[in-house]
Amino acid sequence: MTGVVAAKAPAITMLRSNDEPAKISFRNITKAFVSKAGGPSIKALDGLSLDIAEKDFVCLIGPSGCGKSTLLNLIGGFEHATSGDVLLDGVSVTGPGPDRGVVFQEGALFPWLNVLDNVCFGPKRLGVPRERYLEEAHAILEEVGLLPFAQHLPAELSGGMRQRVAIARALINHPPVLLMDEPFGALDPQTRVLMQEMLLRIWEHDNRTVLFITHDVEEALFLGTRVVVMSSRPGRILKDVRADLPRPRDFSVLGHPEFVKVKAELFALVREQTIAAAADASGDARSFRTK
Amino acid sequence: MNLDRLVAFAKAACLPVAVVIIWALVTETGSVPAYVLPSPSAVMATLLDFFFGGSSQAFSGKFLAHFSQSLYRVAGGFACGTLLGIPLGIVLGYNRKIGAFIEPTIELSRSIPGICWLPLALVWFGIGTGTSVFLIALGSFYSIFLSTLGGVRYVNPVLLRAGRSLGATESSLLYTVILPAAFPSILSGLRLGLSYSWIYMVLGEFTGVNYGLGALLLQSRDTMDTPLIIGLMAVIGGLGVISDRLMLIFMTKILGMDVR
Repeated sequence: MTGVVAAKAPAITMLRSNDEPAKISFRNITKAFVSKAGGPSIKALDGLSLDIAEKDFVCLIGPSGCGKSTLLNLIGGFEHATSGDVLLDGVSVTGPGPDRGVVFQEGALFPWLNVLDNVCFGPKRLGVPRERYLEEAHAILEEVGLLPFAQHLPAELSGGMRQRVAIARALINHPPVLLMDEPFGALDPQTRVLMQEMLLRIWEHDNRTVLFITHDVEEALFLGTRVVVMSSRPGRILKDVRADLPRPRDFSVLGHPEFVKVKAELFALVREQTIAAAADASGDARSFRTK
Repeated sequence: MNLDRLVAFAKAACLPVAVVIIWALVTETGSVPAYVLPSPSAVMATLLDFFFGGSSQAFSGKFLAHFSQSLYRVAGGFACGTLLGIPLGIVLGYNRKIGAFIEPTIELSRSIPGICWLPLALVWFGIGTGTSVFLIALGSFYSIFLSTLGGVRYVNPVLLRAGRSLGATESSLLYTVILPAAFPSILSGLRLGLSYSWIYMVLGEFTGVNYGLGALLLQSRDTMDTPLIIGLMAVIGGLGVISDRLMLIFMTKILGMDVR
């Protein structure tokens, strides 16, 4: 095992500039999905390597179907790589755990629990004393502006509010790593910007490691310390840029000339890949349609 | 909101009111003989007699005596079906490996219509409560079992992922995520099972017991008492609706479970 890791080491150092050990490491990951209808298996990822340093806010963008979510599911412990290593603090990931908070696309709140109970779900499972988690839940709900809605059910909230609960629910466990899978994808543009600003405010306060999946170039550049662009399937890493715009950021950075320039570049790159993916899909689609 | 409900109620009431009016017209004018179809007022009078007494008929004032017997059988059979169906549904829904051994057999046995069990049940339990309870248990079991199994097995996988990533262990996942998520499905299985219970109660009592709403229904056929036949049909239907409402209230208000 160590031999394999050592052999891949040069490729990893190329991606990272400093010598800090990576918080999250994907090493030569291949992930294939077997078609249930008996068609050929689909390679979502092929030999992908990516290191994420502690306190990095990495935004992963790419055309749909490029394997961004698969990457998040691998580090989340929900799926297993066909080959390659997925490491958290240098240790192989075997399954999900409270050291990696996850915010899912549609929030995935427990519909039978009210806002407060959704937020307290994690600490209850982890055996945190009641007084302590209630206090923390109040603080965190206050931070995301939902304290007045503590007794409401998820069905009674708007989409943006539900995602704020989902973020609060993930944060209350104090996970060193936060994984977010297109969390604001279903929100209207105005709500989305407010959510992004709220997320930045929280992140700038605690600087935890974040892996954020999005298909929105502007969102990626606005939030991340680093933006990684993936190719169409099978996903490889095409571009890895540092987003060194001033912090704390707010929406005014969207008009910054540097921001506009990089955004245009990245947008062109993702567009190119989306076109490639569409062309590819016209051939591939048949194997899916038989299902 | 209240007005909306009133309007909805009025719309729903149109057809039954029309049916009763036509029913009254054809019977009160004598165009249909009373022994084939008695008038609504005759049915009403018989029902009042059945509930509160007042005549020399055998059923007069005997509602409680018949109802308590039927209720006893329904409660017993439904309890058996529930106590068997829910645990089995949870285990087989949660663990596909065990399911592989048991599920096909249950599926196969389900294709035997419940009514086919009647002769065997009579041999095993004789005429009376035993047979009724057995049939009711059997009739309610399948819907309760299948709904529980489906609810447990097909919990939204994202909720399971969320639970695991928040620190739930595999065993605590069962009562913190799987069962609450499956609750609406389990509840609909219970409601279906309860309605089957009333159906099989009538079947079980048709075997010739002395007391019970189904027994009385059969007896009223023998005496050609059509007002009582129609009245009993309405009573049994009404009890089905009432028991369903009561269970909904119990599950949502008293257990505090949310059906949404």
